[in-house]
Amino acid sequence: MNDDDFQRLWAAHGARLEHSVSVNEHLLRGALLREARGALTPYFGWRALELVLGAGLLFAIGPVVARHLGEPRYALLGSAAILYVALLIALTGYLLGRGASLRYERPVTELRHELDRLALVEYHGFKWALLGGVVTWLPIVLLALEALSGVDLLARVDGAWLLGNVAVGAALLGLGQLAARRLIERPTDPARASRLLDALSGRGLRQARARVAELAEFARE
Amino acid sequence: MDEAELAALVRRHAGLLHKVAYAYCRNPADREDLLQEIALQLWRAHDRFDRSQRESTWIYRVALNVAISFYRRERRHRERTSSLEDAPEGAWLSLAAPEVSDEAASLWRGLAELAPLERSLALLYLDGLDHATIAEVLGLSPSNVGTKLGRIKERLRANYQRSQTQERSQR
Repeated sequence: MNDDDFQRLWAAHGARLEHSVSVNEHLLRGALLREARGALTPYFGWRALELVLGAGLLFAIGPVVARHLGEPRYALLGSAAILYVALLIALTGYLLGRGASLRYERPVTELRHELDRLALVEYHGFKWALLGGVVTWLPIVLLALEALSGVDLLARVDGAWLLGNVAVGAALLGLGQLAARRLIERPTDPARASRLLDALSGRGLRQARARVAELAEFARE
Repeated sequence: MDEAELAALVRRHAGLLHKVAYAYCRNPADREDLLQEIALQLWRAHDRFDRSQRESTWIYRVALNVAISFYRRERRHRERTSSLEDAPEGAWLSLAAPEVSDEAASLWRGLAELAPLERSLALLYLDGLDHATIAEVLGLSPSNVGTKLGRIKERLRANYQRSQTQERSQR
């Protein structure tokens, strides 16, 4: 079979397929209405919520840290907490902005490049958010409670207890990664849970890197 | 664009859209899902459609971009869940199961063995697009399309022949 035969065979197949599509305009109207109402997909909804919560947290703990900036514990842990939250906001804003600007009518390799890069940033961001969270989660909680109650909680907490929490957090992170690597091959639903497992086990990052390499290979002259 | 215009667009390019869906999805329920996703992206992108561009080029781009994303997402999801056979409720687009000749089935299997990006190139070639148009859809240079196409055609032919041999031995 030569090249022309393949094209003729495919054209004949296509002609059969053409007649097998039927469109129900009544149901289509409903689908478009749902689309118009729900312009924010769950992905964008979650990201927007993260952005609002992050900004709220920053506004709450920022003044607390500023009030106690002369105290080493606040200067060190408070600054780390603010930096962590600010970086999370920046990452979320970046993902939200880039995600919203994706255009499916762009040439295939260009869109794939954007999507693959975005996936890499997302998985790297998730990894660093987890690692940073282990160190900063307790100061963040204490500073947030301090903002609500007005009691100097961070100053009252024992330093050994703070260090102990970092150690426990790191141990939990390690256990979580081990569990994710074991669970990764099992049936999992919904999609968010499987993305979490991908991110925790490192598989998502490996896949994203492989896709970037595959695309580079495809686009190479 | 209202629903009547979108329905007309889908009907006008039904063959093209169904072939893209056919190249990336194995079962009819997935093909319906994918076609609906493509149609909704066409609807979203329609305001940005440049009238100086050919409509089919624009549709190929949207359809292939959605199909490759869908394929990767569904493949990952399928690895994790047992079944995706159910069609969505209230599907506005339905597909009858067309009769497929043995030769067309072998060609489709040969196509399905290619990587998603290579498959998009092979699909555009099989649809009879010239190198310049394929380059425009994929974002490659025409010379790169020519080089890649030579290799992909060889693999497609080998895949097709293997599929035909398997088909004969099963009879």
